[in-house]
Amino acid sequence: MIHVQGLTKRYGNITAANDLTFSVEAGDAFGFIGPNGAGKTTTIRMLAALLKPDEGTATINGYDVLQEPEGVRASVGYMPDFFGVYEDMKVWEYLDFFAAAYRVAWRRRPALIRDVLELTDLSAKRDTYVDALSRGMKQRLCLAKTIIHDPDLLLLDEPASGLDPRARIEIRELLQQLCSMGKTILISSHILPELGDLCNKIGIIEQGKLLMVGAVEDIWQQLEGGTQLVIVVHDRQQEASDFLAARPDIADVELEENALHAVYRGDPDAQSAVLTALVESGFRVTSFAERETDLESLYMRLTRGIVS
Amino acid sequence: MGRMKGHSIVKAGLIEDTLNRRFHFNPCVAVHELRMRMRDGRPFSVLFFYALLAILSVLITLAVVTFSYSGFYDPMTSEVGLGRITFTALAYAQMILMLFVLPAYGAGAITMEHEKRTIEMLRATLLSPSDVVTGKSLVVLAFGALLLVTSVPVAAWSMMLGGISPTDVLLTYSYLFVIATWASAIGMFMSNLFTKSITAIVASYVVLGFWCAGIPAAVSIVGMTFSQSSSTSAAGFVSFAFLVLVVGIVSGWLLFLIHRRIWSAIFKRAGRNLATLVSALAAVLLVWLIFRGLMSPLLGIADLNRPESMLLLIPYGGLGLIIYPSGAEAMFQSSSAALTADQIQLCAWAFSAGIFLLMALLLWLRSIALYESRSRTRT
Repeated sequence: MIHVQGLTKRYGNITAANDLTFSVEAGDAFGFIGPNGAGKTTTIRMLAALLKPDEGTATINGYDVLQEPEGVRASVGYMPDFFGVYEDMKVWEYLDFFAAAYRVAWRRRPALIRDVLELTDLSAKRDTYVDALSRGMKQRLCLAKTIIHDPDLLLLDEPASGLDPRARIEIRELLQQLCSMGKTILISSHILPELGDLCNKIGIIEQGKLLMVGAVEDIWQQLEGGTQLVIVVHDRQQEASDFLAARPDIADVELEENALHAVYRGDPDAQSAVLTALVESGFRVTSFAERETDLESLYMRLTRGIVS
Repeated sequence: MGRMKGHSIVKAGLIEDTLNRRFHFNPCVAVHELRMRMRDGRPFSVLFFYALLAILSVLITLAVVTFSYSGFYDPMTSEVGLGRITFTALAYAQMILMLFVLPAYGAGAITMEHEKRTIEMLRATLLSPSDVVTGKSLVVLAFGALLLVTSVPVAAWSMMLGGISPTDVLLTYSYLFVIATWASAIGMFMSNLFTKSITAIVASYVVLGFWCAGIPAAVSIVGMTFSQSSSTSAAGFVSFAFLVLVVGIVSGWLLFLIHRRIWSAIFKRAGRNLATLVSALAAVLLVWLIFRGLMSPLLGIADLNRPESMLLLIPYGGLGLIIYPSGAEAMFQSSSAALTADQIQLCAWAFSAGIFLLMALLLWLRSIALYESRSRTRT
């Protein structure tokens, strides 16, 4: 669906996107993660054929973003991070305009608008003026506009930024629904939990460079090479740390606020042997748990050391 | 009622299909713009004040002319009808109002998209630069036409006062519409050049002010400086040179753009420079032919080598020549050929309206090119 090869964009001395290479297959939900100013928006705008790359190529649905921008635009639904809405315009008129702008035939538009409004739960607001909608509703309307021409790929730049928790959950549910409808989604965010449940693939970008790309579990495995354990002992923490470090199935022990973070590399079923050994050596273990592989900690580990 | 509504939707849809298929023009921007701009009370209050000022211009003129103690106007003896005097006031009032309203209206068209942060989504659609720029220009023009139509009853009133023919009214209104096109094209161009509405509006007024006052002043100063030194017709020559320069540049540029489109299609990518070269040569050749073929006979019958020829390039000057062809008579009448006042009126109308229309056309093409070049390079 998306094939990006060596994509680069510079603004003066700043390289906003530096030699990006990745691909997204049809049906994927690809999460583009990075702090503000990492180059997410620049990349998405290049993919939407809105920005000319300095180097490299990108094809979407087989269309080259430079040579065939029309084909790219027809197959992409683009939702910018910041957007305004037209004043003095009703919800249905707003959608009608964008449908016409994507050359949806006029006979098909009324039914299409009805369907899209139903999907985004805005049917009751059909005749409301756009600027009278709440922020969350505007965001849903923008999403409705993004899918009005039934694109195969959705490029969503921070679709839930600035929303209250309820609106954020609504957007996430909507995106999950779109995923289940078979749409390919590329979504960017600096808020990690937002992407956790949604994406099957992620790309981590920082200072224009793609640090890592792949399936969430693969990246985790690759990064840690094992399971992360969180062990809390009542006292003698340093001793316990040394004890663990001496074991061959444990790698990389760290002591943080009375808790020991260790990576277990042995047989997953024999994990309890570590606990047994600790207890037998007289350490008073109060907690022994496997740490959850959430995106946030993955991201923190990935960017640690690479960027100051 | 519902049936009627359904019927009109089908009609509108069929028009949309035709425009899309036959003319490759997607009218949705125009429809969208009309919905937004015509919905609230603002355009209608502008219309109201426009009509009010139009009526006032006629009333005040009537009052001044008929009640002044100096008695400079006597309907029994005057050669100029009362209707012509009030109509002149009406025409000038309209021109001034339009030159104020329309550039501002046009200058906001694209910059508003920047300010409301809607431009990105607009660019991401399948709308071509021409769909956007033309659609928005048409709505500004439609508003200009609406303003003009509002004043038609007032013009009818002037006609009843006598001294003005339907042809005069028709020529004047069509000329005013051309000026409206030109003024909105300046606004539209600035709207594409800048990203802030206020900058675009100020720039449009500066250009208009320069064109209507700055250039005539500069040409007269240059002319006077020269006449003091030697030749008496230096002012005439400078005006005429300026006339030729404007006509040459505008028509040459337009011809170049049209040619480049044709030749680029023929030479494709490989010969872009070649296409540019061929188009430039073709444009120069055509402009030369125009001057040889059209201007020479014109020079034969009309004496353009006069300071007043400058008036043809200034909106109010052209309007004056159309409403008072007797003034134009003195200007264009050369010794060799005799022209009637009607012929001269038509000549002044054709020349002045033609050059303003060409300028508007050029600005429109440049606006589309600007929109296009900015669509894919903005940060």
